[in-house]
Amino acid sequence: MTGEVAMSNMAVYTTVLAAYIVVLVAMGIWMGRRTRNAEDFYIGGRQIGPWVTAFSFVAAYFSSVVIIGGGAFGYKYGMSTLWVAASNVLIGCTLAWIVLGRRLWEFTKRLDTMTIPGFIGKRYGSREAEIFSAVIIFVFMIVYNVSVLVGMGRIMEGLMGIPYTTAVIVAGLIILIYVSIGGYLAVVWTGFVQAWIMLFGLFLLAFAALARVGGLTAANIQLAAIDPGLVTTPGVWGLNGLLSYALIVSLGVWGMPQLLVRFYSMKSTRVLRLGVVLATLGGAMAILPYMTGAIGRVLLPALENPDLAIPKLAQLVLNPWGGAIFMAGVMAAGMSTFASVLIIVSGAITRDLRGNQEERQGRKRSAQSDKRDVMVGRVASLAAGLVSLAIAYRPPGLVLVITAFAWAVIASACLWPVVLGVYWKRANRTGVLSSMIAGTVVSLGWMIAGKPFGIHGFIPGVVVSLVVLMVVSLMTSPPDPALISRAWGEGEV
Amino acid sequence: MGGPFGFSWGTFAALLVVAGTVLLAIVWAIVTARRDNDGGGGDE
Repeated sequence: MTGEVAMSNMAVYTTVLAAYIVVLVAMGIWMGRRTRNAEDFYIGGRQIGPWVTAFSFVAAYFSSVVIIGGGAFGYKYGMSTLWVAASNVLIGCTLAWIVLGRRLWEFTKRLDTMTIPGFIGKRYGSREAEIFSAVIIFVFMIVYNVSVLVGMGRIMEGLMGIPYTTAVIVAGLIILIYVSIGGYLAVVWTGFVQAWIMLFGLFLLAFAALARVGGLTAANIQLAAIDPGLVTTPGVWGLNGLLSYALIVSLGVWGMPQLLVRFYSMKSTRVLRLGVVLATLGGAMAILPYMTGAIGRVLLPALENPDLAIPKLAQLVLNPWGGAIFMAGVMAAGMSTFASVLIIVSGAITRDLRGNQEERQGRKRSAQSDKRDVMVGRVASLAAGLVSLAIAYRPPGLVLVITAFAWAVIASACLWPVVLGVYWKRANRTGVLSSMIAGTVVSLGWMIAGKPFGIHGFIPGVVVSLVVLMVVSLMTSPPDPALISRAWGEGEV
Repeated sequence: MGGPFGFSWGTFAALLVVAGTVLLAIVWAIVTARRDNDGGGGDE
């Protein structure tokens, strides 16, 4: 690969990337100076406004996996993949904000918690449920991060011609520096900047590809000439595949802690009003990778590996500066997701698994223990990142499969405990623990069994998790009324 | 086949869903702002 990239192009890529990296690290150091306690480190002191909340949500949602993998799906299955983008916007962005935003903000504030396992533990009065969800998040978020790192490594390898392992190490270490120093504040602010770079890069590639192919109508006519199933729905993909994938990457959001954290780090519920509009507009960009991948099928019809559709298309239709900006956009998508996940893994270790003796005794955490938490959090995020880096050094193969696998297990364990936790007072500790175990076992078992009927493990996982939570809760004694009153804020003035 | 820009209608509907979702977000934001102003909601 190295010989394919001209030196002058390499200089352009390096200049753009170096400038971008300097900005990120500077932001990390700046935010590190503003991080005083654990609330700052994990949720930005609950002081984040609508623009930063919305665009950092979009940046964390759409990783390099969506851009490279989504483009590959567009290349392989054609325009029917626009339905995946539609479900991303409707279910993954807008409805997630409307249904969960206000309630999660209110509940986490009343229960004085800053992580999803912490919320589950306090809402249901179950340390076991807190530990179980923290372990699931810890293990499968690291797995998810491996695929994000691999996606970034592949784009740098494809466009710059530098070896994959060097690319992964450089990208991973930069993120580790700004996350461990700057915490959540660095994650959301760099995420905000990264979202704009990502959007700009995607628009640039989509418009250049459309111009090259002669417009959208010409693209569809040429796609239909290759195979009419590439412009119809469900087309060559089939309904089961399309539906499974669309649900995983949209409804799955409702159980993803790195995205839900945006709701309880807002400075007030007023942020939701402008935030939901901005997140929807930003989320609508999900159309671009799928559509661009489909156009790639017309312009580069003989690719053996669909994962190369987007990098090869960028090489074909963009000049070196455009290619460099697009690469920065893909790197931005990967880095923001990786950073968001690191903070969540760090929280799972520091706050949930390690626990706090003062809290267990019913007292508030002291400033000293809070400071110690920040230090442990920095070390934990470094350690979790290094583990992901070590695995990504020799990637376990199919990136999209690993991503969907990790999302399926986390969502099967956490989605309904979160949603019913803020909507259904009758949901209790026995119900939630049974639901989390059943959802995890079914989704894992289904995927190990080779996805019977072509259905992904996510669907049986979340269905079983919902049924078990409701049935077991109704069959066992209701939750402690004092716990419910506190969570729902009843009796408050 | 038969939809705008060479899409089939089934595929073009996905783009309509995206446009409809943007409208839904705007309407929800306006309704919520009015409700908060009337009822003093919007916690700080």
